Amino acid sequence: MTRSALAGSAMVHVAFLAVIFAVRQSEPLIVPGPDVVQVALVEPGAMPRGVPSPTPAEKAAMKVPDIQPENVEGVKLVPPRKPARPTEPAREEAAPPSSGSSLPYARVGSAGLSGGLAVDARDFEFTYYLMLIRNKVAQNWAPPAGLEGGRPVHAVVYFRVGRGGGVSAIRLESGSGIDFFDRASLRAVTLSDPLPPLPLGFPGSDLGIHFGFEYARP
Amino acid sequence: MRRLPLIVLLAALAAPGARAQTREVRIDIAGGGRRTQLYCEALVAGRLPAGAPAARQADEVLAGDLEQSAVFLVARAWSGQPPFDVQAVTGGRWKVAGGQVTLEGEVRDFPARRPILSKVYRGPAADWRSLVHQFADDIVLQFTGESGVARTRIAFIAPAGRNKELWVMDLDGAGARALTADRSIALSPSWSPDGSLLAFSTYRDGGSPHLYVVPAAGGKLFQVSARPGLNTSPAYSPDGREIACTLSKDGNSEIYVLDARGGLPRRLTDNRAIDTSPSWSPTGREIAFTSDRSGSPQVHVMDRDGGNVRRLTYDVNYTDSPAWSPRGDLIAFVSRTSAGFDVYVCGTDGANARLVVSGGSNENPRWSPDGRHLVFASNREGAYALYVSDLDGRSPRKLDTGGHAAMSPSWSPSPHSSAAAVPTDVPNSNPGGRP
Repeated sequence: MTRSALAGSAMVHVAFLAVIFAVRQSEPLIVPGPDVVQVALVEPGAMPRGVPSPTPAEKAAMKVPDIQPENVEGVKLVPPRKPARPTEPAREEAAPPSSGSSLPYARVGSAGLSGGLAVDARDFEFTYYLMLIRNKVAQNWAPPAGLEGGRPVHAVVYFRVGRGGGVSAIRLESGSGIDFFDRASLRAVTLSDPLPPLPLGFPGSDLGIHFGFEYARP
Repeated sequence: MRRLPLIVLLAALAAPGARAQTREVRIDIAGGGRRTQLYCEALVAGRLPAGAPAARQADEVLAGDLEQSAVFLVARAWSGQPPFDVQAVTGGRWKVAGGQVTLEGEVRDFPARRPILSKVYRGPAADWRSLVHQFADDIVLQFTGESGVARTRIAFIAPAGRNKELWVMDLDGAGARALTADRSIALSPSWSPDGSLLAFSTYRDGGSPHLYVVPAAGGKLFQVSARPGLNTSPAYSPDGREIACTLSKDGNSEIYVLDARGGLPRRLTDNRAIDTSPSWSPTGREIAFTSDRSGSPQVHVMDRDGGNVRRLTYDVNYTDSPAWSPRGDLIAFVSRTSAGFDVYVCGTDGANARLVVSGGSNENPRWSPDGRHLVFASNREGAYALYVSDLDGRSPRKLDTGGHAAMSPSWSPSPHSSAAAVPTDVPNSNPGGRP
């Protein structure tokens, strides 16, 4: 017991140092496995320290603009407001899960498939939208045949979604080392075009998405 | 490999939020849990003139449309249903003045209520349902990337005594009207791709059935083919320039393609078997049809010139009434059972045939224009009526045909913006929507 506790403690320390190191270095850290997407796929700059994050209530008050109905479709809106990105207080990753900028890995389908995603924009808080994307991409993801059991296989695909839902700039961000798995992941994104239009309340002209595909034989 | 546990631990340390969220998010694609939970709040109405359509009617039409879309699970605020596990809220304002309806529709996420969609719809008060349908279709678009089918219509055959007349109605059952009053037998309607015409087969001339076309809005019938023998099962090509059909003018039922006015017949099949029930692929390059050339009726597929004929599937026996999905990836058909017919769906190569609808007799499956639903006729509850399956294992929904028995349905194409009777994209000269 004590040995394992000691080992655990050592790992915690090493890990903590590694976090700080990784953040300072501002290097993209690509990590396989579940739960990782929160850390690995968020912009390095999204994790500054020492700025208090707004409480959910404050944020809600801050974020709900008194919008006027538009006659044009929401999807065709030019960005209505300047996103206050440079001055907006960034929130800590450790804040309660009101930060809607990523979805953790979850099972999608039955055959050991799971998917998770994170977005580029720090001010994107529409969780429903991320769920729609995860569902749609997962629907177009054919379960890989012929993969050996054992360790999970993991790939990340990056793409951008335009205001109208059009998908562009699809590329493999982190390969699994298995060519047909990577191609199946890219194909799932390609087949999902068009995705749902971006929500009216998101001011950006498009949204970058890191979609993690994972397969572990059940 | 040794780095893996470290990295996982690292992630767990750095992002406790991720763990909290993991427990909150429940998604199971296979379990049919993909429907978005939507909370419909009542439209806020000002003072309405006497006889104006009430906001509550609009609420119900909208909620009904969203339910039918197979995209949402809908809770109605005005029925006292609580907003349980809701992801988005619909609502807005409803105004009627000077014979004009204005619907300011809004969708917000929940519970933060950040705007997802906001749009103003204006039109004649008489067309108020159409405005609400359009809002519903825009909501479906916002959540799926593809427009909904709330503005589509269903053509069907209504049996009455010994006669069968051609009817058409909105998807939700409103605006039902008869297009024929021939006191004869009409059969197998097919929409033109622009939704303006219906081709069908009728015994109105006595003797054998002939092909006619009628405007979907009602009007005069035009004869398309009255060749000797049978003239049946018309199907407009995807470009609307041709009609595939069954003719027996040469003594045996064969598939022909006519031009849209009925001329220049081109024979596609040529054998002693019965070939009938053509259905075009959405590209117009192939045609599925029924043939008994192998002994019993089976669905086959051929190229548009009649070549390259192959049986669709060997997994299911005695198949008939093919319908090619507008997405191009699936073919629906029926298979005979002791009680009548079941509805199946398979890939266009015949692979992965799966039972979609059983119980009673289920006939003439036809796709919605978005490929998300199938309408079919069934006697599962007694008299023949129309039902819609969303292909997700849920029970089929009965369509409201105003008490008429109904069979042989055909789902209209989606209205194109040019065909919409409602001016929705008016310039926003009145941003607040105030009168």
